[in-house]
Amino acid sequence: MSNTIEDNEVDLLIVGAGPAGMASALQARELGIQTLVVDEKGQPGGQIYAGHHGSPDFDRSFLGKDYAKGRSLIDAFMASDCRRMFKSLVWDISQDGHACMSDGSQTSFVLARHVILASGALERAFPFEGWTLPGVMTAGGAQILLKTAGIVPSHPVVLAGSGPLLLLLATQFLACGVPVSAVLDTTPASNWRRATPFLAGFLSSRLAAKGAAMLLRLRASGIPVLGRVTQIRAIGNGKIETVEYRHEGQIGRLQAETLIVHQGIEPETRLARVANANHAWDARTRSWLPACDEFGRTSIPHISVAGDGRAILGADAAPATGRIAAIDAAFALGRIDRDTRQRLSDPLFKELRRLGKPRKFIDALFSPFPGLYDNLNDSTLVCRCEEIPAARIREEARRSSADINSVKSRLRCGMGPCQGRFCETTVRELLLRTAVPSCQEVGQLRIRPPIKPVGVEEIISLGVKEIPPESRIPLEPRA
Amino acid sequence: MRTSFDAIIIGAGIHGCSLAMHLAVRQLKVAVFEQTYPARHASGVNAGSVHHIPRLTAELPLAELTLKMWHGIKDLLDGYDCGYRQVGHLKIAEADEDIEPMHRIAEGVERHCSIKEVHLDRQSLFRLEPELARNCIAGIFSPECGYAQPARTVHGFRAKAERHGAQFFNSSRITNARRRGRVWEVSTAKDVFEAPIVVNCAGAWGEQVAGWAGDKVTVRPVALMMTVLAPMRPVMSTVIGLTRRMLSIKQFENGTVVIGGGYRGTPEMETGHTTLNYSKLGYNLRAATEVFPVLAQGQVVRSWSGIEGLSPDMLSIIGPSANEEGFWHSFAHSTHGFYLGPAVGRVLAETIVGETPAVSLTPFHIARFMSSGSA
Ligand SMILES: Cc1cc2nc3c(=O)[nH]c(=O)nc-3n(C[C@H](O)[C@H](O)[C@H](O)COP(=O)(O)OP(=O)(O)OC[C@H]3O[C@@H](n4cnc5c(N)ncnc54)[C@H](O)[C@@H]3O)c2cc1C
Ligand SMILES: Cc1cc2nc3c(=O)[nH]c(=O)nc-3n(C[C@H](O)[C@H](O)[C@H](O)COP(=O)(O)OP(=O)(O)OC[C@H]3O[C@@H](n4cnc5c(N)ncnc54)[C@H](O)[C@@H]3O)c2cc1C
Repeated sequence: MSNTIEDNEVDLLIVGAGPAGMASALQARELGIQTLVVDEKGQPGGQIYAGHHGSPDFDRSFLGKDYAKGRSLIDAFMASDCRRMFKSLVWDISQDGHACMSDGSQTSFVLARHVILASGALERAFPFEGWTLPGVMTAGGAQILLKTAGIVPSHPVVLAGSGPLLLLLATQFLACGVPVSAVLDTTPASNWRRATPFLAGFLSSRLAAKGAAMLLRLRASGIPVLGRVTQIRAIGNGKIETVEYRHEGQIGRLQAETLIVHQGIEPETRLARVANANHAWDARTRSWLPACDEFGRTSIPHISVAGDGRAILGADAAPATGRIAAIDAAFALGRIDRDTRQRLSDPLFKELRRLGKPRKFIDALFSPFPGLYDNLNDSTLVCRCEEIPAARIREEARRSSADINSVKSRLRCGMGPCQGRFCETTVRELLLRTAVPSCQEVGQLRIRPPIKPVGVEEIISLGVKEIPPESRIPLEPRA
Repeated sequence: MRTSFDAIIIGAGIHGCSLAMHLAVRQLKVAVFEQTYPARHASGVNAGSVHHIPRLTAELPLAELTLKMWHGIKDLLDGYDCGYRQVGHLKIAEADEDIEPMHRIAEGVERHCSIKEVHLDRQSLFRLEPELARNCIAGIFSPECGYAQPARTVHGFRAKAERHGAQFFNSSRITNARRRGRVWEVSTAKDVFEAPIVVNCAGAWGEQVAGWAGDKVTVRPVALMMTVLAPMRPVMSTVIGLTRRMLSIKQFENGTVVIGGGYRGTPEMETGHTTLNYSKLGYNLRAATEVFPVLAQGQVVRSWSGIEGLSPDMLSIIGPSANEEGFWHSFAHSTHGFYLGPAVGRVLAETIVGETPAVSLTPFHIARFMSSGSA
């Protein structure tokens, strides 16, 4: 990439101002590193602390203690003297450290000597019959409305799926008076069996008490929490009217104008992928993670990962991985020596080991399970951008290659503007189930820049104004 | 025991798959080895344009045959829709001094083959494409041309080849080929396969493969960049090119607009990765908006580049090895290999099995690059 402007050079670029990115920036400034933090959102805080800063003022106490905890980190981050850019999407990172970022009307280049990707997680999209009906939304989507604008449904809602966020949202709804008709937990018995051997690690952590408290609060409120629910369907004409499900051998139905679904989260790795960093298959969470060393350094020496974008470790661990990556960046930039890096990181590694104890249990309990995909109807849309139903993917897997990129080029799933955000996991799981190849054979979608759509004129602004000589067609006749 | 075939094809791009199909329907037992998966490289990520302008005169007889085959592509692929749409190709002059060379190109085409070109003055140009910028002043229209979906087309040929018994080996890179008597031994990292006929359909990687037969030629790998815009209202109906500067634009039925033309990024041959060059990509999009101003309001969904091999004279390398019996080439298709795919596979298959080929391949032989001393 050319067109670099001199003063658009930084020592350290941090993508993401969630807990990982903010803590990383504070650590980097403590070590005297010139730092630029860029976030696509209008305020700092990332997923968990969204809305603390720069959003309309209203009482957020119903969001709980964990949410309130973010305040001090955000205040420290906003008071620090790092450079901050909000509402700026980093849409490409090249192997030589150039980043393209867009504020929605203009794209600029930044040349960074080191990059920390603290881009957080995405909710795992999972299709089921009726998932595209208006009125069906994800827990993350509902939570953002709640945190940033205080918007809540006024009519009864049903929550369905699996994962801590679902329970958390139910209790947050409860605290602010949203009527919840039921929580339909789809975590299957098989996941409980896989998780049980790791129960001790979980029970020794703060999360166990937290989880139990949430469940008790829900139970005490009289909200039905049904376990081992299967076959969720959203039914309605033009919008959702009824939620259907199977529980203990019976079909149940609930009236609902809003169905909130969730099936866990997975790292957002699109920037690491667009930069061509290596990734490794993680069997426990059934996802591809950026391959990195203990400091978060990827296969590209000047690119590191931190927070949930490195591996799902949760909000408490995110700052520690962020700080470790910043310490390592200082080492990479030649500001501290190897011993100092170790000395500064050791307490953080210790903290991570402690925070990591419940992970095996949580990962096993909430990893994608066979029923999610085996019960998927042939006619259910998997790719919303290109409107591709499950049957086409199953059919294609049996023909030719099961490489997910080959399937993408044949069916176009993953070619739309979402670049696989809504379909990649499902397509991968369907391929793995149909043709039984290895995870390596299925692979990951190749991500092409921009990772989210950018205006034509922004890209024009990166280009030369005169035709490059080799692109001129000679006017003399060709032999 | 070694597995043996009648013919081994190296590379499952459009050329490997088309040839496999044309050989398989002639009852040969064919194996295709592909280091990744079919249509991974140039053949699956190209612009999909099916047109012959501006090509070298030597290519025109093949062009004529290939266009005929595209017109019947659905029947050729047993009813499979590879997305071929005969919307015509429009080459545009942006300035007075472009008009004369543009007409010379059209006259050259008409002198050497029977493909028809229609000369358009300013008024008829705007009747055909009302959204064109006002600086466009004339054009030549080739109604026999169009576009297709690249990856689908490759898989159309692959599927028909398979129906006729061809075997495809994915993730199988060929590391060497050696002749023993009348048989070629072709190796992957794990196995050795045998066949009396080996065909180099390795695209931009073909130089190395050619070396196994002692054929020397320098192929320049380039990464050609492409961009797709989010669906827009109907803006254009034909496949667009310019006379003076590289540009290719078309709009698919779903409303997406694909922009290319040959602007180059950087290829990495070992991994197959490519890197974009934004200063050139930016110019590529600028040129597109200078022809269709409304495109400036579009959203870029993705840009990418694909790896193509250029021969020293920009003409494909097709035909027998200059050194070895039983070794054949079809590579370095020099930016226009997609539209040539159907015909080249057929003519090379005819030549290999000893039928009279529909078109002579002599101008494409690799021997043209080798003085007798270097062979
Ligand atoms: C939908 C959702 C809701 C969650 N809710 C909770 C919760 O309530 N409680 C809890 O404990 N955990 C929650 N989590 C888990 C949460 O991800 C972590 O606990 C924590 O927020 C991780 O911190 P992080 O800094 O790694 O990432 P995040 O907090 O996710 O921050 C990442 C930041 O990077 C930015 N970013 C990403 N890509 C780019 C880019 N290309 N350009 C510019 N900016 C970019 C994002 O805008 C975001 O602000 C949630 C996760 C998700 C996905
Ligand atoms: C961006 C772009 C746009 C283009 N636009 C057009 C257009 O609009 N119209 C047009 O006519 N042409 C176009 N072209 C040119 C056209 O795409 C190519 O000429 C054509 O696809 C070449 O086909 P191929 O089968 O020879 O090569 P490829 O498609 O590159 O196939 C060669 C295959 O061989 C495999 N291979 C190589 N070495 C080995 C080995 N040792 N063992 C096993 N496998 C091996 C490779 O992995 C590859 O898959 C474009 C090209 C690009 C890159």
